[in-house]
Amino acid sequence: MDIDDVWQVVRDREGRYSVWRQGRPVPITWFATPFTGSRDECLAHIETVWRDPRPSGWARVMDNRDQTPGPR
Amino acid sequence: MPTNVVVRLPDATSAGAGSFPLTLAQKRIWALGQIGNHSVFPTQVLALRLRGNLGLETLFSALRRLAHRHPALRTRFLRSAGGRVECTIDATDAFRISTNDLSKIVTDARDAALSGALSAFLASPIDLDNDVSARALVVRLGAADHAVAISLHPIVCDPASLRTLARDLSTALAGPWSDAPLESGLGRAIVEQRWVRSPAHDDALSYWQATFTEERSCASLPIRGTLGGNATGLRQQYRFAIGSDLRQRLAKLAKASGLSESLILLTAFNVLLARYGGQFTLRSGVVCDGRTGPHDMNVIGRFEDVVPLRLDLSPAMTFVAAAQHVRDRFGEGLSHHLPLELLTQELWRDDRDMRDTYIASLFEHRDVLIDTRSATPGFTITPALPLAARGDADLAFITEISAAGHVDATIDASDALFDGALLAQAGKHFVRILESVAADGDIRLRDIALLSAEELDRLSAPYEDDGADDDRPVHEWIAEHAVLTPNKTAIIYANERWTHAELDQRANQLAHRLIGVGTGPEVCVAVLVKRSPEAIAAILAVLKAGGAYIPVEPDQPPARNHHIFRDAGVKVIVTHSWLRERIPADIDATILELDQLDLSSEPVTPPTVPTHHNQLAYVMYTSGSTGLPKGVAVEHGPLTHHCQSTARIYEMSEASRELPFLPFSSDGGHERWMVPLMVGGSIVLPDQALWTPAETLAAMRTHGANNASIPTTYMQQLAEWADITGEAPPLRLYSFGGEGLAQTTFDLLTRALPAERLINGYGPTETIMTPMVWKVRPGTRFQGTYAPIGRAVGRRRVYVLDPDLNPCPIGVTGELYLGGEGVARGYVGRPGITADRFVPDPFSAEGGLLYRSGDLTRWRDDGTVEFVGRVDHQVKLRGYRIELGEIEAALVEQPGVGECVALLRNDDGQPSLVAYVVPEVGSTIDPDELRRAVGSKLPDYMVPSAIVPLERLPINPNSKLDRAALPAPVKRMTSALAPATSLETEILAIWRDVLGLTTIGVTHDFFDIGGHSLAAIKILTKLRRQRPDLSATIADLFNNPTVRSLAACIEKGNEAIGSQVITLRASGNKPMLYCFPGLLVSTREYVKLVDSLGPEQPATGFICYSLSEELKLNATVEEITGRYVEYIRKQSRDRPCFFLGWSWGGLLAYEAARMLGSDVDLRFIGMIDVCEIGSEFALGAVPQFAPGERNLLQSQVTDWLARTQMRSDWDRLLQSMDALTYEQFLRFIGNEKEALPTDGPDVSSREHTFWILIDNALIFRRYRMQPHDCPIHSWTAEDSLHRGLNLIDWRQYSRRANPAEIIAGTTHLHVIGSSAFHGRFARRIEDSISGLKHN
Repeated sequence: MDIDDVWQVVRDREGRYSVWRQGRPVPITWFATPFTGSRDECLAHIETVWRDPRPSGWARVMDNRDQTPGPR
Repeated sequence: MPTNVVVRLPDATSAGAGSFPLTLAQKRIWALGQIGNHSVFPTQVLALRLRGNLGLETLFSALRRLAHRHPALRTRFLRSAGGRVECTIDATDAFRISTNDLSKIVTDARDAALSGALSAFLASPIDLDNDVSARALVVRLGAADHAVAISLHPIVCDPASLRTLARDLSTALAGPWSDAPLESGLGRAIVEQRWVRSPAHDDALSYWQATFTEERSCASLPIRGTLGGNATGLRQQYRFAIGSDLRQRLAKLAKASGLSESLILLTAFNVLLARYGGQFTLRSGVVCDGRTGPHDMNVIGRFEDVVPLRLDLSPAMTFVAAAQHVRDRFGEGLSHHLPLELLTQELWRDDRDMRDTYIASLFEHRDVLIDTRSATPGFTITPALPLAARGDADLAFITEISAAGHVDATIDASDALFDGALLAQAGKHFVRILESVAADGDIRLRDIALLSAEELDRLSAPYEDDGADDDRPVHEWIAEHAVLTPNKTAIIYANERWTHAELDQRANQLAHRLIGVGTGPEVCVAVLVKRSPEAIAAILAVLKAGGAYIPVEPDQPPARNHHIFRDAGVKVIVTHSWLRERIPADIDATILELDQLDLSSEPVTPPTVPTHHNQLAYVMYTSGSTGLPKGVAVEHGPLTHHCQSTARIYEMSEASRELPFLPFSSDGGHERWMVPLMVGGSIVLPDQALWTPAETLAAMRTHGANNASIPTTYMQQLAEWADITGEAPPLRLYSFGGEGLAQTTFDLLTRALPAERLINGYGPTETIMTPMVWKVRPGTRFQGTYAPIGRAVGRRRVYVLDPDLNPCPIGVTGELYLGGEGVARGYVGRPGITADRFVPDPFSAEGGLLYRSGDLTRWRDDGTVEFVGRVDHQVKLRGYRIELGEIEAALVEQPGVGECVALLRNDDGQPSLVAYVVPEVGSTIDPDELRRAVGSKLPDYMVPSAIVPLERLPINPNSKLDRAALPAPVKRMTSALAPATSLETEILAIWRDVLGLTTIGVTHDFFDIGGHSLAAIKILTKLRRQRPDLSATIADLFNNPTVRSLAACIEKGNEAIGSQVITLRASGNKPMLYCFPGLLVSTREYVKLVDSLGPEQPATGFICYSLSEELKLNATVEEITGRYVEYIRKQSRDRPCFFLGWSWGGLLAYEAARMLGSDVDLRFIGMIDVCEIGSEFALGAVPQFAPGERNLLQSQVTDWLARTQMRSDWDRLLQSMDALTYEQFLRFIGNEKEALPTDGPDVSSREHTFWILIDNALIFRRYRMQPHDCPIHSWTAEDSLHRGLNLIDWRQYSRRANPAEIIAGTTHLHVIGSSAFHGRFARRIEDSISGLKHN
């Protein structure tokens, strides 16, 4: 692997996942996770860890509604 | 080449004594002068303004001392018999100084007067036939204000020499100075000739041969078009400065990293090329001053040369590492330096390597011209004119240190190839690269930002749209009109009419039922209903119930639909009972059959369901190029905002009545019903998957549609039909999309389909419906292969990025990324692929994602995006990067071609380009003809090896082209037909024998099976031997190129037999083109040119006498031409015609024109690379022999004559020579590298060719050209100039001759097949014909 070609798994504040080249500043609203590797390795990792496709804000609203008794 | 070998030259210092040969570079410059070109190597001018106390006499004296010191100021060029050129040095006073007194002119106007005087002085190039190599002008502007200009022919001077000259002038003005004449440097040609025969030359050559076989892009900045070439030779300049402040910061970097300033500039230029071209392994050139020793530094001469630079940079490299790499490679190149003229000759030797050019961009760094600080006290010297650049590459980038401390930079580039704005932008970005590396030398090349934040903001901005969005979801917008205009028509479908209220109530009732069976947020409901009002009601019902709909088209393959049901995990399926069987039995979902459902108990009022911005609205399945369809998940917020923006940009209102033709399996199909209904308008929904064009136009008229949205693939058919019938009603708006739209198709539809507005929509499903549009008035023209795809719609931005996510400058191709709110959530159940395609947005202040589209695009100046092609449609073949779209565009331009697609196939392990073509309605296509036609438009490597006509292109369920379904081309094998007569049997046997083919039949075309002119001669010779009574000629064979037709022609035995005339194209309404043959040329070589001139250009060729005759002595040019003249007079008397002569054929054409006089209306003669006879056999050229050499050569000849089988032929030829000619013959064979050939008399033998060559030389030595005024256009192969061939300047013979144009990247032998030449010749013919019409 090209030593200059290290990627990292990143997440944004809505819990979305993506990949970003290490060494470049991570764009706003995104933050790095500890997982690094080749681009493909990062994508394979995301395939296993990203379970809920819903943006987290909406997921919270929806899950709260489900727990709230009474008519929806 | 090492030039530091000191050669003592006899009499170098005394005027007039001794003459010297020219170097390779000088020969090239001389040849350029011969064809009237003074721009490739411009006149070298030193123009200085001298302010201060200075007498005129001091100035004159200084100039005279300069001329005394530098022989280059007084060199004369002598042309000896046969065109050999040598130079000699004249006396000091041969250097002429003229004066001009402008001191009487008012002060304000003096500067203007000075530039006028300088222009006048420089207006006429130095005429080496009559003048010495330089002249000077002194301008008096005031008592203490003078200007001096010294103009030197580029054959004796280069830019570095001007620095020497400036320095010496300044010294001479200052006072006493040793002005002893310097060595002239004229002996360099002798050193060069010696070096070329040395092992060092062979080493250098093998280095470059190895270098150039490696694949590297010939780097340049993006050019305007793909074809055309440097037609005019005109150049443009963009000048800018690198400030002294930046220079100082660069100096710090230079010091810290041990790099020189010029190396930093050179590296920055190549980084610019890499970033603009997207190729980090590249080839460019460096102009070097060619001076190797301190002595050379003082000499004025043509030392300059070009060193090719082959670079293996990478985006991850730091700038300093890149500079070190450049330094190493440049050093390597320099130590293997080969004169450029020699290098290109060697590399062009092999046909397979022929390409446009080897070096497209040059970098040149110049030291300060004159250091004002070191000038003599009392006056100041400043440059009055910028130095010129050499023009032999498409683009030259020159940096020159100014006396003021900054760097003046110039981009000097072909006017035809480059857009001026692009050069200005490149200049700006060059400075930006320098700024970045001055700040951090270890910055990686990929981290250098070219565009500023402001530029990026402007380019990426969406379509102007002042309207405010609200957050109500789409279904609430639509429902609103059930309240506002309940009885207004919403949907027209066959005989049905649905009002807004009906639609809403049906949807509400179903929504309640859907909620009842568990539909809610993030629950997917498949709608397996064909495109209909019911389907729309069902979709609205799903949305009202809070669920996400998935449209499933019943007529699509069951396997695809089953995949969708399972992949999306659908919980509910809405369908009809008759479609039940299309749903897999084992699916765990509630199935609602609309025709079986009793919804009467459900309320007609809407259910109360809140909709969240991020709630799933729909999942749309798209076919990828590989694998199973993927579900793209789209949320409510982005969807409604997109639709609202679209309504405004499309100017939709309650008056809108749209005919949406897009299928429901594409998201665009849903946009086109949602938007009209959201604004209270209506739709006319087609009741069949496909309507004929007639049905579509009828529905528009019947129902008063004012908008139509149509897939691009169908638009063409519709427009063709409307063009024929004129049935298209005027509409307000047509929108289309789905495929790239070519200009010809766009022209057709703006002509045939009247509308106020046209919108070319673009958008991957992943970025929601139609995220980009190009909205124009009909008839708009665009550059590029496809119609622009415009700008972003709504809350989006679009970016053209390189693979490192850097924004591409305007005009530079990169991949399109779309960001902002209007992108999908991702792919259902595929987090990895989602993360791969949706990446963090580094440009937005709000964060978010960018979708990577896979489409190649570029920005125009105004931010409009042009579609270039698919990332995966750019292919590589034999080292060439090929954009398939360019091939498609060339095909579509051809008459009769409707649609087409090109691709790279790999069917039998051999990659080859294949094009598929659908003829226009009513047309048929001949693939061979079409292939020939595009052959003249495209570079050879881009011409498809097979063209497959198809009735229609295969389309996938999303109305997109299905590339995988295109068939492999079938090789056509015509069967070998047996001979029917004894003559056919006889001829066929000879063909098989000569061509070495046993499988050919009597109907195979001679040229298709590999026949060529030498084979033709062999066939005829054998035939004559067997049937001495037959008199068929090579022309008969070429005109009848099958065994059957040749036999028939011979049997008919009419007057056609025995002629020298070949019909290249018999018919056409343009004046006849007569093609005259070069030596050993059959005219077959003209076929490609004639093909490219089109079906209306008739053409006739003549066979070279050397191919049509037995070896015959003592022919004269007049005799040879006489036969052609007779024919032309008969055919074209008093009619217009054109002549074309290639090589020595040009002389025949010229003589024919002279002999014909006014018998025909000769519009012009085209002269291609016509050279004068070689110097060896020129009349009066007395050969020189080294001691003993003549006797040696004589004994070689005697020995050879005893062995050759062509003895009698040679005896005849040698006996016809006079004593001097025989001496010349000996000299000629002494100059030949190879031994005298003895492989004759076979026609393909070297010896036979040698005999013809000598005979021909004797024919032409007796020929005297007489002046004859006729229009002449001439063209020259670039390689012929490199070789310094003795090209004829036709202006000597005709006052109506133009200077020759240069055809770049080709040789004497290949120029006739060059598409750049074809294009320019065609233009001359067009001009001439339009001249005829005006008369």
